[in-house]
Amino acid sequence: MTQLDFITVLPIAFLTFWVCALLLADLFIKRKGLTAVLAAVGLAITLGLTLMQVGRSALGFNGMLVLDGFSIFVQTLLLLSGLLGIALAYGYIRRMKIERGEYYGLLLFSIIGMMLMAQAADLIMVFLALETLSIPLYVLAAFARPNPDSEESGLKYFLLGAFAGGFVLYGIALIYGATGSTQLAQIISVVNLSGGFEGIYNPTLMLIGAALVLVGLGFKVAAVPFHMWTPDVYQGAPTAVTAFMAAGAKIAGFAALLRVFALAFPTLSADLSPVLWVISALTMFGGNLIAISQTNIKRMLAYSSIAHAGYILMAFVPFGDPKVLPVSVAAGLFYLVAYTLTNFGTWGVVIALEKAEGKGLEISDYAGLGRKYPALAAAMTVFMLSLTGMPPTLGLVGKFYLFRAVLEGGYVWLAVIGVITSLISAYYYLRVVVTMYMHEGEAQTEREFWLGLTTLGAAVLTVLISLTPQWLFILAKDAVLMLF
Amino acid sequence: MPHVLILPLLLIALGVFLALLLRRAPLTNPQAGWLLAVFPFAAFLTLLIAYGQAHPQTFSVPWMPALGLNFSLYLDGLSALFGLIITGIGTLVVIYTGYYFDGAHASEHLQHANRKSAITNHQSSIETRFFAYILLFMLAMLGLVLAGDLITLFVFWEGTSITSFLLISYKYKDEAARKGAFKSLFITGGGGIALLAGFLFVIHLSGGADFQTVLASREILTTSPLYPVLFSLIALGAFTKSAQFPAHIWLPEAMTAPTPASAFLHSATMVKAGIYLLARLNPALGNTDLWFWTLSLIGLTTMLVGAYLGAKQNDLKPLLAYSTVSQLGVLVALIGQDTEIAFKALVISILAHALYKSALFMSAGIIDHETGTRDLRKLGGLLRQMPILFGIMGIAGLSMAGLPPLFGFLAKETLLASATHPSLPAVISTVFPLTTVLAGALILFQAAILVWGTFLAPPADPKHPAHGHDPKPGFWLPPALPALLSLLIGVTPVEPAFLANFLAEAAKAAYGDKVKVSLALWTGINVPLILSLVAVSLGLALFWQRNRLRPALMALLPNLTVNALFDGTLRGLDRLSKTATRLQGGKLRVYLSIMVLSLGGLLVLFNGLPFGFVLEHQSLNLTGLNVLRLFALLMLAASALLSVFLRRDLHAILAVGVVGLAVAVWMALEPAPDVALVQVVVDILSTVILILSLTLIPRALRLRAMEFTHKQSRPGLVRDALVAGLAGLVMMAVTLTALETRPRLSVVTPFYAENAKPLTGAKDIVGAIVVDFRAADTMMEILVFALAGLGIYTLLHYATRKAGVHSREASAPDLPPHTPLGVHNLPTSPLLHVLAYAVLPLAFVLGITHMMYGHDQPGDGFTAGVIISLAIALWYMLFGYYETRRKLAWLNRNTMIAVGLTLAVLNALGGLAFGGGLLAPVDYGKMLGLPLPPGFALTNSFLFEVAICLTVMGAATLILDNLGHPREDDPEAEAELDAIGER
Repeated sequence: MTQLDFITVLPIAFLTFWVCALLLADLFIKRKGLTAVLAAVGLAITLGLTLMQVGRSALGFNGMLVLDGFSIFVQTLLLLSGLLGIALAYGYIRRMKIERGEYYGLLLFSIIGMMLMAQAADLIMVFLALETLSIPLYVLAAFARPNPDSEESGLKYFLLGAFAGGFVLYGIALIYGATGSTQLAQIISVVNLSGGFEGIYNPTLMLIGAALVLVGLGFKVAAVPFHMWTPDVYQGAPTAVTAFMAAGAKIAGFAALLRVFALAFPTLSADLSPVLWVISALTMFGGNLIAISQTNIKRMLAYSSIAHAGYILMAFVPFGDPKVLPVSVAAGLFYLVAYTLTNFGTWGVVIALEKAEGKGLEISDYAGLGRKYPALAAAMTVFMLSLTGMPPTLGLVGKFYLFRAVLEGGYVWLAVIGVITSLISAYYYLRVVVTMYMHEGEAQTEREFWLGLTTLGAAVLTVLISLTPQWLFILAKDAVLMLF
Repeated sequence: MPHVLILPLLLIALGVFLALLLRRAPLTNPQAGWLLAVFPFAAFLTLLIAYGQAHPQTFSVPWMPALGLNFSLYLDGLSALFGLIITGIGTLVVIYTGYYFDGAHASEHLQHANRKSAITNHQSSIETRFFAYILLFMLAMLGLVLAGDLITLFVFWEGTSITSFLLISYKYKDEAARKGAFKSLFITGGGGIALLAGFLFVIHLSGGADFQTVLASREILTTSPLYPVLFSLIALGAFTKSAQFPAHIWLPEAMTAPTPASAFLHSATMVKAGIYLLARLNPALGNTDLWFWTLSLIGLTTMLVGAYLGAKQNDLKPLLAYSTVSQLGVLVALIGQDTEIAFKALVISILAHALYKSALFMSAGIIDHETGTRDLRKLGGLLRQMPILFGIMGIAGLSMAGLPPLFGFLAKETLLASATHPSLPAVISTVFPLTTVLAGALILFQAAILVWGTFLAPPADPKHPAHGHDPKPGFWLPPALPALLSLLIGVTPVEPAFLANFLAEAAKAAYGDKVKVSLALWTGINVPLILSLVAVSLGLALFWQRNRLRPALMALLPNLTVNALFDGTLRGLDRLSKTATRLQGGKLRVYLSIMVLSLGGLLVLFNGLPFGFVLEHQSLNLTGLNVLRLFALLMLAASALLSVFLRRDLHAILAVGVVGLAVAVWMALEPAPDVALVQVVVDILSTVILILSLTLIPRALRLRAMEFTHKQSRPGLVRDALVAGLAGLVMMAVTLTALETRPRLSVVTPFYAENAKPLTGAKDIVGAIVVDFRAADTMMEILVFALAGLGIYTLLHYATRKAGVHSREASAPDLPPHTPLGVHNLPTSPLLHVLAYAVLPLAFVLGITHMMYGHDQPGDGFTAGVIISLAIALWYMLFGYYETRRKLAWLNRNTMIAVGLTLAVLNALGGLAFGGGLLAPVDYGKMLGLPLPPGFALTNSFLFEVAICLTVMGAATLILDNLGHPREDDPEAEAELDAIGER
């Protein structure tokens, strides 16, 4: 068992040591670029360790942590997000004069929390992972202190996040009260054996607890109506942080939500599936609708990220149906990959155009980009098409897969809502394209090697993978949850 | 040899690449046009050959095999008909494009452009961009009609939307072009997304995406309860693309595109995509009531609206565009029918329309090119100057009017035949022929004024008559060919059997059954002929009265535009969006209210929070309520209320602190001494931290914040009170439910009670849980605690640096040493100093005891760490930052955190080394045989407690250190704070 413990936690443990060492080393590093490189190396090694675990599945620390195909897939995605996040931040934080070694330390700490989230098989662990990933993000959001926008962003995120964390904790307490355990495996066995354990299992409490957990995690993934913080925080935070937050926190939140709901709460699906249905529909509508009237690109993308949380949530609606679950999990994971890639690319373009003191962030600042920087504008066009779900991009394939899974689950109207909202979203995504190509303007961009590589690379991959998506399908399909 | 199917697509793709390479080539535009026309022409020939080889034939490569999706192509009569039209007319259009952009008029297409770009345009002599776009569009369009499955079709479908956007917006500097391009992209691209959803349903039901499977699943598809949904979605996609009423509005506005694009996209190809799709799916989805009525009604409405609006136009291109709309309506209505003759009419109309309309569009472009205008009010009398063009437009116009002996006549005859088919149901059987006659008359009228107004009528404006002359042969050849074909097919004495067979094949694919097609113009005197005569005479009568009719049309009758609908929808979306945005005012209070209310709603509505149950079963059991508990309860409620109503921030914080202490009292009475202890120390520590943070904020700003907090509007206060009250009620219900329904039996406590001592050697269960049973959690917890410290350090450390303190130690103020200055640099009482000196060692002793005996009694490493930190906090408050740093120089927070975390990990590894597992219990004292005081065991649990204590102490000190650091006066920061205060 002990060796197994060690194996389950190896990548996370390694990364933790690496960060601690990195923070110490940073004291002696003058050029903070080196810290970034070291952080990236740490992530790369961790990625290697994670990939070495492919094919294994185990339960460690008395059922606290689990290692399975799902966790490996999610962690790989998280580590890649981390690498992309560093690539975007590398030049940006120097340019914005907020280059400090702690940036990378906090980023890695946050990734540790996210990775734990993917592996947590115990509600307490879920909560701790949630805090571990959140606290560094609160700080990172306020990293441009004393810039008031950034301070506001960090403070708002922290206050509301702490509140949401409270919901999760209270929910966990109620679930513990209802089943006598916080371990997912034990919870479900108590629920299944409730006949034999008369007097222990309490479905009412369990349901309330599950709803509270849903609210707390729904906050993390920015689902309507728990999304209110998102635009303010995304706009105020340094853009590189926003990019990372929009991908990482969502991935981790969804991973935890999926594991907890699919493993511990399948019996509650009669009550919770409608809730998820409504939240998903509201999120798609709310995000896409409000995005229309935004003139600031960061705010617009914040609402767009809310809308995409709604799309991903669609994959969760049939969580209690064991026949559909594998398909919808795979579709959700696939969509997460598509979203992450497009997300980093889009934010990369935003970073390329951003000037000091929050200039260059209006959509009108993109006028003329098509003529002056055709490559960048083409990349942005690809991202906008991908976010809308048009060919030839990964977004289309992802949406196709997702809608199909939803149909297989029998949620016809949810799929229709998904389509209608995609239609609405075309309105504001295409407006960016029109602005770039058809309005006169003097768009100015920064040339930074890693930024350019990330952005153009993401664009190329968004198109290329959509042409040969097969391997990714297979990976997503094989990333199964370990069932107890 | 099925690979021949991919060849046409590859050829055109090659053309695109060549077009891009030509940028610097020493060619004129016409030369480039001829060169590039080779590719579509080759594609045309390849298609012909492929069709000759075998039909239907398929080609397929796996794309997403996991989902059963392929990239596949399919060639049968229907796709061949469309494919040949696309490549055939495409060839002509590419040649035409070269001449259109030729010579002195090279920048005609940029007439609205500013001077500078017109010059740049002259420098790059070849319109490579336009050639590339139009070939790219051709590629997408050809792919669309050759697609062998729904998904391939969809991909190409959106491809045509995007490339047509590029073509329409070619004159992007023109505001109208931008608007038109956006509108067409939004409507057709958006319709495409609906189409995708419809396809998903079809694939879901039929189990496959390829046409063979789909066409074979008619039974499943039409009987499914989802049929109306999927039909609506697909129809939406097709109707938007094929400009059916009311989505037709994008087509006239798309006329801002350069004429070659209009001639190609809006006559023969893009707008026919929807027609193709409906025809293709007719065997699988058609022949239902829904299909029949929707297609018939929409089609007939569109036919009439298009014909009517066309008659009102003065500009040649919109006039042609509206007549196209009308013709598209005809085609949709025909697909809706379930008669053989309708499908014969369909294929004939498609071909006839493609021929005459492309000829007319291209001719209109020539007129514009040569005379500089397309306005009928400025044209006239061009017959003598442009006789050849008159010939072309005359023939095409006659075909459009549906007069013999042209191909258009045949199209109209078959259309009338299907409009009068005896199988039609009651209403349609009168409406269909009637609208057809009316629309036919209007279209004839349009064709007449088109030709008459341009060539035969005297110049409309005699002072400035339009000037022009017939262009080079290469320019008029492209429109001449299709016009000539319209004539030839009509007048050949021998019916061209291959064409008839070919059309029959196409009709068969759309109808699903054999269709007989003959191309004979004369079929005897019958009802259609009579109706045709009626239509012609009506049209001529209209034309006769044109001078009276047209002004009346212009002035009296409504524009029937649904642009208002489109604009209104978008504006409505904008407004809705703005309204929704208003919730997002940036006020935390509002955000929190929404979150809390949603949670309450969720619990009450969805989870059926059992209020009734609670009320019924609520046994008011007061036996446990003694004086102490009552006191704690009252204190809790009172201080919670006070924390809201007290105006001074400091007081409110103290009240919150009291809330925590009251909870601790409850816990102690429960009895849960461990929890109570932790609650007490944590509560005090957080109160101290809060107070210290307050000292960081300038006094003036604090006052303003307090004022602001309590100066709210009355409705706002009431709203907040209501939300808070409701949330409280919901939480109360939850708590009561929990209390009333909680299990009477615990599975957990007995387990820990039994196993704590034997497994871990601990009498205190909580202690055992924290450091043994759930040690992994605890590791994470101290990590989180350390992270919080790091976070505060990161934020505050750099703020002080920004405030001018570059090296913190060096900037100690010039004070005599040992000058204790407390908060706000106020001197503090010596009596308190003595207290502080005494408390620190005491705290250490207490902390060490907690750690040593934590296994057997309340208290553990965490409480130890917090207690010591509290003592240090007292020092900070009494002696101030510099003095404390000087006196407690050994207190190195970074070292403590590092040592703490390292010890925790080493300790875990120690378990691995000596105890047989990570974090496994080891008693080092026993192992080494050390003499230890009784009751104390030097286990790794103890070491873990020490590690926790050190980490907590380090992190707490780190926080205190940063909070306690005095600020320098920084005018910049003050100004910023003021700015925030004003906001």
